[in-house]
Amino acid sequence: MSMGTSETPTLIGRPSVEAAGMPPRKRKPLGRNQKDEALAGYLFVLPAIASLVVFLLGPILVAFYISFFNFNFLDPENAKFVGLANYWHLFHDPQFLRALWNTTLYSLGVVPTQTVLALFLALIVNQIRGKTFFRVAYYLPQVTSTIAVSVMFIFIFSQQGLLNQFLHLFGIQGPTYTNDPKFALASLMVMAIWSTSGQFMMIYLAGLQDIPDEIYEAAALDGASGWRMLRYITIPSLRRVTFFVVVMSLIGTYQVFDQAYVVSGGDGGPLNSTMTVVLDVFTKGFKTMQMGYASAMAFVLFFIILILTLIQHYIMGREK
Amino acid sequence: MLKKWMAVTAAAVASVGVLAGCGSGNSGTNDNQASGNGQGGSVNLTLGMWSSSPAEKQLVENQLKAFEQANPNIHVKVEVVTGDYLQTMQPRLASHTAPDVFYVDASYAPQLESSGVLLPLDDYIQKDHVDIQDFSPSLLKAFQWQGKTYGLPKDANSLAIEYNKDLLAKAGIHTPPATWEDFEKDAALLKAKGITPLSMPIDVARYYPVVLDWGGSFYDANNNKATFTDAKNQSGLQFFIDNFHKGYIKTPKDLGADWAGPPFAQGQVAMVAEGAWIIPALQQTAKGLHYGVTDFFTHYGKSANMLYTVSYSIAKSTKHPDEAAKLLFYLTGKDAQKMTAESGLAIPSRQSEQGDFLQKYPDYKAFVDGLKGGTPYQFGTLGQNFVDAINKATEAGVLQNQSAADVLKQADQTLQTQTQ
Repeated sequence: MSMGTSETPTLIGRPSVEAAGMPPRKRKPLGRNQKDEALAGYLFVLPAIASLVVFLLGPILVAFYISFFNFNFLDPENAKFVGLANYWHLFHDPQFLRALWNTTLYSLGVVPTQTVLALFLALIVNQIRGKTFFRVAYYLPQVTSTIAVSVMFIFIFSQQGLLNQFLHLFGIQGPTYTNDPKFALASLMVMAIWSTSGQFMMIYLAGLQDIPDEIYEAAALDGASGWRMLRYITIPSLRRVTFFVVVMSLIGTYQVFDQAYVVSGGDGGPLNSTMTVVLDVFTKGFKTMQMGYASAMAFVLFFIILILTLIQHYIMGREK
Repeated sequence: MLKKWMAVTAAAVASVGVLAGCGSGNSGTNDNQASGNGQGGSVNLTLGMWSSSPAEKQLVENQLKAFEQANPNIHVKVEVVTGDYLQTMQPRLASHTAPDVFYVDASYAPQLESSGVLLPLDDYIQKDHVDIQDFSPSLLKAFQWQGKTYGLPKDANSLAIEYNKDLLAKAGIHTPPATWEDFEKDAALLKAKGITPLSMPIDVARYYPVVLDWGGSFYDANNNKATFTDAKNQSGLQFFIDNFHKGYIKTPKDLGADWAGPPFAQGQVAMVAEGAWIIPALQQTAKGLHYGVTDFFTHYGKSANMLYTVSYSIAKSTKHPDEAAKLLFYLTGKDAQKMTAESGLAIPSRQSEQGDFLQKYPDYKAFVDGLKGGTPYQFGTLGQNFVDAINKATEAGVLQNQSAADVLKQADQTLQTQTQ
């Protein structure tokens, strides 16, 4: 269940290059003819392409194929072609719809909060003394295993946990948050915001350092300061970074699995309140052995994320 | 023809094996020199298992050592699966790379059996004259599907009531309740003293005996169908739900734990209904606790119980079915079962070894008693969908104050939407 975060460094570079407005470098022929050169290039990337095809593209195509079958992993010979029945059934499956609803709520709760918080932290960390210390401190949750984080939060949110002890000082008696249908999903959101804000803070920090000082100087000469600089210079300049952060965060939240799995013990409880789409996919694929159905679910999830990303791309692109 | 050839090689291999075994003093070093049963070599088998504790792995290794001594031409490599066992096994079974012999939990055994990835053992049982009558009948039945046997139970567990003597005494109770009716009376006394009477999760794996005792049944084994909506199911389930509302039963989660062991060890609850796995946990975490173990509550003479059992089964894709069967019969045979009994890790599945086991571990009497009236925890090929449907519905019943009839109707609906 990769969160799709490991490829961030390659993408951060992009806005900076384009912001600086450098023209694309012209390629000089190296004396040999271009075909040879291209061939050498392809040879170099061949191992990567081969492994991508075998381990990524291939499985995706196979998954797409079996999503039209009543497919049991253990008994592939008896797979039955059912056409679009799996997809049709999905939209009548209360558990899947609940999972989709939970995941959407989770995303709506986490993405905006996380983005704002990440920007806020980045702005602070960019200016105060002891930058390095705070960067490390805020980034630490990201390198901690999700399982460990979940277990820690289960302690915080338990009946006699840290949170309730604190509330007790004000005479409030809280429930076991992860075991209460009203609070369980919210607990997951808090957990996610806490653990991934640091990562997006780093991306914003990189973005902040790419904004040329001249712009700020010019604005200062024009009498802008504080809030207005933030509103009219920093945030617009970070637009591409924000796009990236929101997309990555959205993909990550729509694929939430580990926390829900640990907190609910794998069943999405209490009362399906922590059932997420990927958890449902996992249950259907590996526990109840309905791999065809699980594949259909995965593709619906893929299209949802794709559409959301395209919408954002359109909105962000229009401003330019 | 093939058999004769194999017998000859086996004899040749045996002599070589013995010599090699003597020379090196360690049968493990000989593995790589010969693979397959060609060229006068030995047979290599793989055994797949999970391990709930280092002691379990040690037990299996000891059993294998004894097996390899008796069968020097067969070498067994142990493969311990960490993480999700079923998730690991599925792709391996599908790709014909599963271990030759491996653990199968009764809860999903029917799914594996019906999809044809396990080797039917009946012919081998006949050929080797394996005494299968000796197994507790309900345990053996857990690994039979449509008249064929796909595994032999290696051990078993059942539910009993563990009670905290000090907490019961505080409420003036000197003998633990034996029936659900007694329980309700004692629970009222305990509750009056501010003590939580019983902790059980809202899980069909634990409360199903209540439904059975009250004359209900969620599952029709003959037709592999769920029978949630049968009116006979309501009274037992209602009794269970009502006890939550009276405050007589609390879930381990309510007490801040994943399962009932920790709150019981900490003296937070007077009674819990767990299997024998709680005993080692209590020995480690609650040395000073005064507790006893008694039979699971009955209801007007009915004493249903839930059995948790694991088999050794053989992958259909194995290249050495004869040797794999030999290994399986050894591991579920008397010698290996005796070692299981002595380790105290689980109850041996063979009745002939259960007596020895009880002599050494008299505390486990209630668990062994439980095997007699027990139903294996499995619901045919409905498996996890069945369990999820009824567990979620029951949870809603307890939390949102629904009647048993509504819970059962909901479970039925959910199951229908989840299975295609």
